[in-house]
Amino acid sequence: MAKIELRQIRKTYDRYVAVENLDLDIIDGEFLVMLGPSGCGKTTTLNMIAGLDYPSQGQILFDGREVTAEPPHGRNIAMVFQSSLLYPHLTVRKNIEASLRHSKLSKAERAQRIADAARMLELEPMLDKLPSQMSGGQRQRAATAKAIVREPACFLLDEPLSALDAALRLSLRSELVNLQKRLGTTAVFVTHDQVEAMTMGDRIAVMSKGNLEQIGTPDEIYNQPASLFVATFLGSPPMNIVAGDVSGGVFHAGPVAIDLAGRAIPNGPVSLGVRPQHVTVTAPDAAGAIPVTVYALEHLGRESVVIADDAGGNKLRALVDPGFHARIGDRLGIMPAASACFFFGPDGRRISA
Amino acid sequence: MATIANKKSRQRRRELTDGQFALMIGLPVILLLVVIVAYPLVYSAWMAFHRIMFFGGYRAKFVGFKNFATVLSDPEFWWCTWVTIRFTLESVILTMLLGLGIGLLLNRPSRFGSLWRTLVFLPWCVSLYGAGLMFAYLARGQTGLPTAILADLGMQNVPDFMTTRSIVEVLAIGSSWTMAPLVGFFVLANLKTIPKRLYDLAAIDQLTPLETFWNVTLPPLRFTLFVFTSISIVLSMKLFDLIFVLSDGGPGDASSTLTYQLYKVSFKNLNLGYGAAMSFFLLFFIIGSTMALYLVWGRREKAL
Repeated sequence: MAKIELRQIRKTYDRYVAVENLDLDIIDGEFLVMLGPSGCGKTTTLNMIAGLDYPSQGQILFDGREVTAEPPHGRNIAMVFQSSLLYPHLTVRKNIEASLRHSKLSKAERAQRIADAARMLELEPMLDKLPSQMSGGQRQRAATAKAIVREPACFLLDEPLSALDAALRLSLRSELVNLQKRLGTTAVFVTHDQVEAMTMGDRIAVMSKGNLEQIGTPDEIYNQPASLFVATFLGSPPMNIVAGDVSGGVFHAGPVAIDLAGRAIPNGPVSLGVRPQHVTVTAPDAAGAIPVTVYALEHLGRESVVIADDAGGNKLRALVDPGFHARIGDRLGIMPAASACFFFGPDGRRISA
Repeated sequence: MATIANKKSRQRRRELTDGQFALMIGLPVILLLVVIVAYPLVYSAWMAFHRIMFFGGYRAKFVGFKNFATVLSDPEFWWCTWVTIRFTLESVILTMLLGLGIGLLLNRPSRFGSLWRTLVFLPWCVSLYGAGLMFAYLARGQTGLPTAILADLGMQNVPDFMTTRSIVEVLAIGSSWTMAPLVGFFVLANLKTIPKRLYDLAAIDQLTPLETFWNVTLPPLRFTLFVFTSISIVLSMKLFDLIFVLSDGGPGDASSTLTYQLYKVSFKNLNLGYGAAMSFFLLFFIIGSTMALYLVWGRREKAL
């Protein structure tokens, strides 16, 4: 159990700024997902929490105790790495044992913990196999077992599912969350996959270019994105963005005018964002609709996605019923529901109203 | 229709099987090996069973196993065997340790990485003849480099390593100096395959530097180390040119390894039959030691 606080963390490599003034409070027992594209500083941050790397400036506190300069073993953490890293020449049992090698546990206690972890992760038949003899999912379980036997204050997971195939990822996602909730251990999970973030996290910290863009529950991140970056990074299919400006309660983008139905958006240049489920497909000349040309139609079974180009070549997406028919090149209109639109200022921050 | 089918089957008959094709492209090498390996081997086996005389006309007289029996009762042979063992052990251990060290050092990030790599690799490109001359200058007393340096510093010492006590060590250092870079580069290539995150895993597991070396760094190297230990055992046991140039088997017979002794018996004393018999003992030693190494070590390793 641990509450982890990052205070004004800054990390630079020579002139490259990897993490900039990061303040982050990780609540005891929560599953925090750090989400962002590669190079956004999420893994660097995880390394600093682990003690594998040290911040250039700032402080890290575990339960109020400063650990900024402490090596990993001073922090009581366990880490699962990308592609479920294990010592390749050691059996699963020896790999798990390696986690406890320098603990002060008695032999019996160690054996007990290994047996418990193996049972919990259904690894018993595989304890004497080498990592190379196991499937990706089994390796992932072994790496998790290696992490939990230490009974750490905090799990740190660095894209542990990214090397697995889609079906396995799906089942391991819920397995990991279930395990974390049963153990009640704080977990920090780094990923670039927004679906993983949305489905696993109690809270999500979205990072971009070394900055924390937003932190909040999946619901907050999805429904109240703080910035254009967060809005476009989360959601599948992605949010539609239309650049234009607002004057007198009406959004203009070229010839298109959308009445904002009384929403108080200040005049000036803005980007309108609307999710594909909050638009309706209309005739091309309907009032308040953006005229588009159909580019592709994707069938998802329960629904379909119309992908269409607007006059500027910008791709817009609309969720439609599976029975919807359109041909490539057809002219349509896409009408955003004014109440579900987000507006972002020129600085990329959301204008709330 | 029939003619087409006929043509087809005739074409098929002209196709080579994999085995035939392998034989065909391998034939030049096989012929070469017959000429340079099989013929000399058979010829020396023939010689080992004969007494060959040059003076008063070339004659060869069949003597059965007499040459082999003489080898076993020859104290000089046993002395040379001991010198060979001592030299091989020292040279192999030194080569492997130096090679491992070179690989580990070159794997560290450094500003002049490629320059270091080139410099370190150069000794391997030096001929054993050249290396022999160089180490002779380093080891020699009166006319050696250490004496000259000490004299420049105003000292009168004459350090001489070409003595009966230390000449084998000088040879071992010389031979490992030429071999170690190659080992180092294979070690380096293996080290490059280790995921960096594995060292992070070791740090999280609180492994000591020695445990980290043992569990992370060493495993991918073990097969390479085994292969090069075998190779350097063979090369050390049959090393000749370096010894010939550096010490000429001396002082006395202090550095007469079996290969040097073979040369002396066969080409200086012209006792070809006896030399040939002795060469088969060397062959058995080489095969025996590499087999033993395989049994105690190699069986447990597999190529990654």
